[in-house]
Amino acid sequence: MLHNAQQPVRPDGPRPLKPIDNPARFFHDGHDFIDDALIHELLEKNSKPEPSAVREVIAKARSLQRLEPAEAALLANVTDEELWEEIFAAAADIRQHVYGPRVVTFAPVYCGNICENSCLYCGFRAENKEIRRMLLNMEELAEEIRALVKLGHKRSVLVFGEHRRSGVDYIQESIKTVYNTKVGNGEIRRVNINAAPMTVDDYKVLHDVGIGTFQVFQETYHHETYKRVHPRGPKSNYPWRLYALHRAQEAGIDDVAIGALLGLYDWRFELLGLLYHTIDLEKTFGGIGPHTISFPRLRHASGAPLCDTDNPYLVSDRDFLRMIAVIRLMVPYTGMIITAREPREVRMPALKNACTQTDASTRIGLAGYAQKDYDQDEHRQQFMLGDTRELDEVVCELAEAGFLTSFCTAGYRCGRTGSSFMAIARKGEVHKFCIPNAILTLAEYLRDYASPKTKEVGEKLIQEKIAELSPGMSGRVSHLLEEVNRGGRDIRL
Amino acid sequence: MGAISDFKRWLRFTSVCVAELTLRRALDTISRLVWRDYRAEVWFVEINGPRWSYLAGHVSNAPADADLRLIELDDHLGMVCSDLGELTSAHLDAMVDFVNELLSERAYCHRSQETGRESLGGEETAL
Repeated sequence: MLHNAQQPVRPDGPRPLKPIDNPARFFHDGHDFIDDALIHELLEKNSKPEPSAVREVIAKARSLQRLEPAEAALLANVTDEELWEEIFAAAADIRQHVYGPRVVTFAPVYCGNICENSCLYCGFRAENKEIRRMLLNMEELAEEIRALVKLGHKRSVLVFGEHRRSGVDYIQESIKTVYNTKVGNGEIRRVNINAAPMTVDDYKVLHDVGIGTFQVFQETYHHETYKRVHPRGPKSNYPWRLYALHRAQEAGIDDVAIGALLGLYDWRFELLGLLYHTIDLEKTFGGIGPHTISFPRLRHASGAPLCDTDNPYLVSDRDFLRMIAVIRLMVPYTGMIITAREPREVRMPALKNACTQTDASTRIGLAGYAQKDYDQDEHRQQFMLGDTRELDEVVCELAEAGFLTSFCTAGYRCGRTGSSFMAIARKGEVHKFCIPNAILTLAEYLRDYASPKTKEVGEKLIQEKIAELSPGMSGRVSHLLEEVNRGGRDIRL
Repeated sequence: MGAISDFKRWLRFTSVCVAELTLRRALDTISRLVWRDYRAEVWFVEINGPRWSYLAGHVSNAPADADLRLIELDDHLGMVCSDLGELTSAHLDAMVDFVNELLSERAYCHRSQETGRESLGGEETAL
């Protein structure tokens, strides 16, 4: 059973604050790394790109070098359809070259929706009286995880509102609960966290219990817009959030994830914001930039005033896919996540052209996975999803399109994190390590959870992909597959 | 392939080279030297629950079909070998003994909530 929040949410009430670590210590020349005027100037200066200049930038991206902001601005301003086709082709080639034919899959679990913030676009905002407030206790969370594991998931991202009751101690307990929950052969092997910015000491607590990636999305990098859409609550502090992942890295969390919510301001501006964020993390932490980038689009949310207005910044499907392709070129070695916010018609081209991770069988209503006959309920969730298909269906569709659904979590269990991972990713060699493990984890899924149709399509794909490996590797993977067939699980190179 | 005794002599020499370094830098140097001299790829990780976070050492484009050896030095520190290069398993065992000795000499201990002692992760700590 769920229990309602015991205490009323008081957005303006006192907060048991720890001493604040002033984010200004990261500033250069007294400013954060987002210079709004400079970004506008770059977009303006590169508003009419010459085809030859665009092709030079495409060639640079193909050599797996990170682009500079002016170069990304140039791509974002392309209007010529033929040039866009070249950008899409380059993005798809880079995606294939660096990551190979695999899509990492996860499921989000919302642990609570109590929140002290007032974000104008979010259904969890403190002022929203229409939503039912809940915070899962550990048994309820374990129940959610058991339901997820039964679907075949191996990775999850836990999502938390910003509230003292779902602070670091609660998050730490949640991570432990997830790792300790097993069902037969199944378990969640990697827990990522999407939560409010923390102090270095709090991040260290999460680091010590084996967190996967820590995600904090800036939502919008445009200072004025940020202030407008976050009128109250701790989230109204722009620099505290902007440097959240710098502090996480200081605490030893070397897999961090950035993101922008599209639809709050000009997508081209947000694109450059994401790039500047990447560059600053790389500069500050010896080349370790974000592990993944997310770019959710604004969706309808109950009780969120911004969602019901005539919004000039909503991003069309066409512009969305263009932006995604530019991100692929801009940071060729960074993972990209497209979620079930997006409808199937957008997700598939995004995955083919650029994105490397997605979720499936997603239920973002609190305690949704454990509930039979679940249907989306706007009074229970942060926003409405565009694709609620089950994992089995997504795995099957991806396999038919030639993609291995990967449940692999090997990298972060053998030290391929942070600078060690980046060294491999920058050379475009992630696929060398990940394709064999993607094959093995998909095989595990097919044997334990898949429908007959998915099993048939998946097994055929696995044989094709094994045949494409080098002779030595193909022999090894075949040998390990036999172990999986004999009942071995969590078999990896 | 050198004899184990030669490799142990090499380890003793290496221990002098890293004596003045912080533990993290010492581990990094050991890894880089064993790569330079023996083409063996060994790196160090901090263990936190299921997560093995990269801590120090040389990681190159290791052959993907190599046997990855995961060695727990203690509850919180691990060693990963992705390529033995010119070494054998016996050499690797000698290296594990050598690193364990180094850890006990430095009175290495992982930060825990109970003790509040410093971790190797994040900001470098002189141990």
